[in-house]
Amino acid sequence: MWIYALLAAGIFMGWSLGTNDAANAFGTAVATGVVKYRTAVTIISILVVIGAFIMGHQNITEVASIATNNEVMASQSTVAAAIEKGTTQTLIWKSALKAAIVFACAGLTVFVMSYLKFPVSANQSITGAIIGWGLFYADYGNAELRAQNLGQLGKFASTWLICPLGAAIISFVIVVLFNKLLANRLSKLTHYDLLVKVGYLIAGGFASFSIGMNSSANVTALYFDSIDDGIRTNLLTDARLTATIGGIAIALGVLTYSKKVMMTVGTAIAPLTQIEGFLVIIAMALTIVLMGNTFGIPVSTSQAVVGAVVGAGLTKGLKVVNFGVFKNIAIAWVSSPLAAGLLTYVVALCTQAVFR
Amino acid sequence: MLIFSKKNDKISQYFYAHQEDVAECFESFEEFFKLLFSENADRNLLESAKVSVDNHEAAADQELIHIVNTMRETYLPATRKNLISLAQSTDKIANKCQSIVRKVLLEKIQLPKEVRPDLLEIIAVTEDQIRILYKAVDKLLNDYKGLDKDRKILDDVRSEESHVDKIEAMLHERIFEMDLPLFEKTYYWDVVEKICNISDAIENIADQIQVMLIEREA
Repeated sequence: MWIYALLAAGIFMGWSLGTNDAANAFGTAVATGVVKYRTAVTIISILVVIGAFIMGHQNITEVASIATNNEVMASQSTVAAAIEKGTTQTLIWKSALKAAIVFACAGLTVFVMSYLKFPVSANQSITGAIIGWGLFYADYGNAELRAQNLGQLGKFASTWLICPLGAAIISFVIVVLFNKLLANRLSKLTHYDLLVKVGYLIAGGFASFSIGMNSSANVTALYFDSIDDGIRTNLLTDARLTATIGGIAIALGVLTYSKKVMMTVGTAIAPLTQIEGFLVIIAMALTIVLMGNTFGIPVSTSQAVVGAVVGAGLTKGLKVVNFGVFKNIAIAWVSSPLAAGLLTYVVALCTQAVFR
Repeated sequence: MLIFSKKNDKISQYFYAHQEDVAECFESFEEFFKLLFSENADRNLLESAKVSVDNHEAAADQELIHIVNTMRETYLPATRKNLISLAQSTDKIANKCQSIVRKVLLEKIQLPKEVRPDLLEIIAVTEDQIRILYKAVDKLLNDYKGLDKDRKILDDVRSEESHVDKIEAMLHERIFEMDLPLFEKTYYWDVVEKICNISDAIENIADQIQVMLIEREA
């Protein structure tokens, strides 16, 4: 039973992700006074858990491949050897312990970023931590591993540069078009408020559901026994339960400590009107769909929302955007997976007696 | 969606009803001073003018409660806060009228003849100022983009206040040039200042509207 205590690290990871990623869905809404903070976090929490429960399990095997190649999760040959030797209980303990270390390191990095009010990609921190573990334990003579890890670094670079740039352009175009074509038609205060309120609830609600759907599995996947051989070799065997635990952990983070990052996204980068805040969320969603799903360019909602805020701010001039804050956020993007990787590497080094 | 829209319409109705009560309160206030300054100021007529001020003030309070209670689940939180604050500030006009009338009646103040015409002019200008302000509020609710583009109406509210300011300065000088004991001059001046404060309060409401517009343009 004590082995389940190791789940705490995954829950901590989920909590940290929740403190940071809530800003992607409702940061601009809360900062511009469209939705109260309490209302926003309640909506996000509910939809994250629903998203995790309904669709979260579908993404659970995505992390498994890179985690297996980096020796965080057991490969099929390791599992087969453990079955043969009758050491599956030890394997479960070690797998859960490795997952706990990776999640604790990544979670700590994301929490520090949330504390410093920087919106970062929690999923990149998890990947960074997995690669950090692999740097110590994995066989870098393995070409597949090298290709996979290099590919991940390429994805990071893409999300740091192309994703925010694309989001900024999309957001700029949307705001300019809105101001030219639609703004003057919203002459009644009621209509203006109605559009902003309903629009935000739909866009923010959808973004919240997506967080539950896409990220819930990531924060607990390393505890999941992804090898379907009928023998339990990791802590959790039910994919839906695994994703739901992740979703609940994220919801807890959203409910308890998400205001800081929300305010950075909504106010610190550029001042936004209520309608611009809403258009930023639309631009973020379009960036994910156009760049991510249509062109297959790696994207991150955290980086897309920051880029979209910059784009909306630029419609009012260069001076409106606080490039100092943006620079610090960009540094945080690069440093969070690096710090998570480095920290995990150090822990791997210190605990080698257990895992070698 | 329909509920949202219906509730907003209801709020607009309460808003206009509240404004009307405040405007009628001010008309009774003006009536009170006209009676007070007339040759044969009758105590009973003054009392009934005071009752009229009180009634309109109480009615305005009721409408304000309706506005606050209906405001839930309508508009955006920031707009709700702004609109409630706007209604509360408008309500203060009625409160000020009531407080001045009570003071004058209770303390049986008889203002010197030399200041009466100017004081009535201040009240008349303030009444115009209220009408202009109401037009601005109507634009804010129904054509806020138009108000945002052309803020002249808000400037008009401010220019009426400047007008009141000028008369006030003149009255100030005149009262203190009178051959009266200092305490009496100060006493009269206090009443004049309280009446002029109504115009300042209206100007502040225009400023509030401008802040609302600025918040939306960020």
